[in-house]
Amino acid sequence: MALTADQVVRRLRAFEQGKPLPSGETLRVQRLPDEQILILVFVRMGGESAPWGIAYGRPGRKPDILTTPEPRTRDAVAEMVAQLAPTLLTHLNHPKYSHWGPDPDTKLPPFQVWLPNRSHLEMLHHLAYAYTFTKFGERSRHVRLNQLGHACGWLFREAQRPGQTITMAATDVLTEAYTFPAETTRQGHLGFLLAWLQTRGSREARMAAAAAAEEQSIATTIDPTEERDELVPGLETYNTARAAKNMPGMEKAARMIRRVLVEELGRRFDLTERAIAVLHADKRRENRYLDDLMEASLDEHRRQFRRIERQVDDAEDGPAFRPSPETDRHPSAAASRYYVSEASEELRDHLLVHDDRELQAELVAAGEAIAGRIVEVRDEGEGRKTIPVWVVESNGALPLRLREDSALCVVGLPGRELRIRNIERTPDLRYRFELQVTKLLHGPHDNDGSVLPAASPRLKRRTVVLVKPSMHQIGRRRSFLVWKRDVPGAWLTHRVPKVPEVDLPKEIGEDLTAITVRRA
Amino acid sequence: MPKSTRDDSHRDTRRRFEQWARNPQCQANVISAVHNIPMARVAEQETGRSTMGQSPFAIARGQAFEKSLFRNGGRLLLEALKRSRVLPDEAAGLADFRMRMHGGTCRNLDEALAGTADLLRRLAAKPGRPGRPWLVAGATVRIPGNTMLPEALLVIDALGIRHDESPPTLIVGEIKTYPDRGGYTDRQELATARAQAGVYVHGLDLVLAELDLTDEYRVARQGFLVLTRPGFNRPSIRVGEDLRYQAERAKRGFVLLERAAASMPGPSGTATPDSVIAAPISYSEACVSFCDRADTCRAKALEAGCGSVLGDDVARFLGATTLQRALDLLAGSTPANAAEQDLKRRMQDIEGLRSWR
Repeated sequence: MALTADQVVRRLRAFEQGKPLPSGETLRVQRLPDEQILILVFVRMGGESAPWGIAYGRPGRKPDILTTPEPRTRDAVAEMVAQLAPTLLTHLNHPKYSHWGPDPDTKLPPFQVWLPNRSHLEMLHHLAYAYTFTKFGERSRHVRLNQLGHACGWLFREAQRPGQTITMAATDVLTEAYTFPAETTRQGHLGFLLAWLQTRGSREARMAAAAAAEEQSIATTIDPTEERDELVPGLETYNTARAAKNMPGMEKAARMIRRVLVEELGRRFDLTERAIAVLHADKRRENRYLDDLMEASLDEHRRQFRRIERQVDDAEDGPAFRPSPETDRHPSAAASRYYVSEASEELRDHLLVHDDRELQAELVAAGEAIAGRIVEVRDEGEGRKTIPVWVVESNGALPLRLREDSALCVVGLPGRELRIRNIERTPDLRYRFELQVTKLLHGPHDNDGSVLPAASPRLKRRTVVLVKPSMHQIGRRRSFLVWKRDVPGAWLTHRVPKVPEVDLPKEIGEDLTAITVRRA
Repeated sequence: MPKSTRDDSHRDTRRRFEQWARNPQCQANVISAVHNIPMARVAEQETGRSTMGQSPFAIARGQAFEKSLFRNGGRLLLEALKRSRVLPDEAAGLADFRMRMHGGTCRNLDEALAGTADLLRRLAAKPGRPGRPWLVAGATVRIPGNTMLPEALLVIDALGIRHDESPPTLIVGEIKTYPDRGGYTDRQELATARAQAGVYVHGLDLVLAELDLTDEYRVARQGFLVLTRPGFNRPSIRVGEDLRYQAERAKRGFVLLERAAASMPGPSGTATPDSVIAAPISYSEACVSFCDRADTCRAKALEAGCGSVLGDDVARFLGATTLQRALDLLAGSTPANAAEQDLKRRMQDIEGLRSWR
């Protein structure tokens, strides 16, 4: 996505100062205690989608490391991944593993899964593909792998939902929290970002450290030179020994391979740990609305993971079915998830701004909000009825994307909503808005006197910031309604597609017909 | 026809075209692409090291996957193409112009080139001939003109031929080893694959015109991509890939490249890594992902105060103004011209909001 003018100027300022600068007045990520965080990192062989090694554990502790010498052997990889399952499923509060029991309605404490960057998120998707529907191998193992596949699939899908607070790609978190004086393309490298943040000294010193850090891979793939020089010989030795059924030879080669993989995984784990530490050391406070986002994430976790794992249908959120890792091909599910995503974006974009003046400034710079002064307050109501009207003036040199009839709310008092009646230019080229206050005319019910009634003349000459109110409830409501069969349009949202493309192999596709029968 | 004295692995010019297309503003990149002087070689001469390696495992996987597709007369790929309705149920028969080292039948690219042209002529002469192939592996064509030096060869991974349409339709396919993850498949990777397929579409247009076969075939503007099923070695076909824009892009690119090739001093084979090193550079954010010289060029761009060292968006915002000058303007310097005045105003508006905070 292209940078806004505000982001460009911030990047220039970061360059001028020779170091990353904090973005935002508040932090937009929750800093949870270590025991509520699980770090998960992967490495894979070039060209393959199965993991070659996995490291996982809590920050500040030595990670558990799993490797397999030959990642092209399906059974060996399945055996390795099955060992990860208990830890991940416990952390995600899978009904069969949770310390809090299986009830989907139990209130759970917040938790996070941290990964170094987006390539590790993709690995979660690969695991979902491989294991969501697998029946390969012994039953107890494939049941566990199925559960792990569901968990990875949910984590991956949740990571796509705007404003989610559970699946954290460290590079995304850092680039949102700081402005780095470097090209966007290079900011997907965690080592690069941390070198900028943690090196002391001049711009040149930081730049050199970042460039050096960038040379070591932190993605799921390993540097090709290292693969060629260190892993190819080990793997050849291993496969030769395996063909000759030479157990000592196999073990020796496996140790060689493991040594390299442990080093690779350890570095990625360490970097992720450092990213978490950087955020914990940040002096900014957390945005006070983060709790609402975490609440929304836990609600998604309850509805879309724990409920479905318990096979409990939900009147509002649809039947308990696991979507294919490929895409949500069932039309009602697809529509419902679309609305959830829309609602989540709305919530994220319009919630955090109330507690962050820098976010407000970004919106004002983009013409999406008004920062101005109330120059007139009048009450157009008759008798006991109150119709408060404000006239607000603001900087006319800034862009403006708001139109007459747009709804706005007051920053810091999101319940007080206004509608733009008229926009005009003053003789000195300022914007002049006439706004009618439509909600919270008298203040909140628990008003301690600090909130003036909207028609109070004392509001005159006060500065206000007006932003769009969140309409997330509408999207959320639609996501429920789209499951209903007795509404207009149901013929479209409830028809199971019949085209050949939906006929996927059993290993990767949900049974659409069975879902339809259950819903009927 | 040039004799195959060169290493055939460097003769397929599609990679060079894509290299050029990623940063056509950079003269060094143009010389490297047109004269076939790999940037890795240039970087090694310049700094003693190159950075853009390919995983040996990924290369082996790609070759194994491609071999599996065309094994037994292309049975696996033909079946997949029929299932996804790229080819009709009656489709059968493979014409294989891949190199022997890749499991094909041709000794070198010249043989593949002659074989492809011969096949196109034969099929046009006798459209109803029994045993005609519906799938071609490694179809090789030479772009007329002097787009690349010494020649511009394209090797098309998979070419479907619909004999049941009149005139027969040629459908371009591109094979990639990465997994097809439905709507989550990497957009950048898909865009690259489409761009490559678009080059083939335009290449086929030119070659059919040169062979005087334009009326005998139709080149489909929709192609297909062959990816892998995640976790399996089976193909996943993405059909209906719109290649119109990509073919147009290739058409325009070839014209520009031909002009660039014509403007270069000396005949083919005279350019050396030194010619690339001496050429003017134009660093952009895209260089990070494909060019071995990116670090060197970034250092030069930084010294010159180019906004591109902070990303393409910053470069666009600053225009011709250097980083230092932009910071001076922010610090209060008087603009020297209208462009600087406008830049200063835009930056001050943003900064003004900060002070409001």
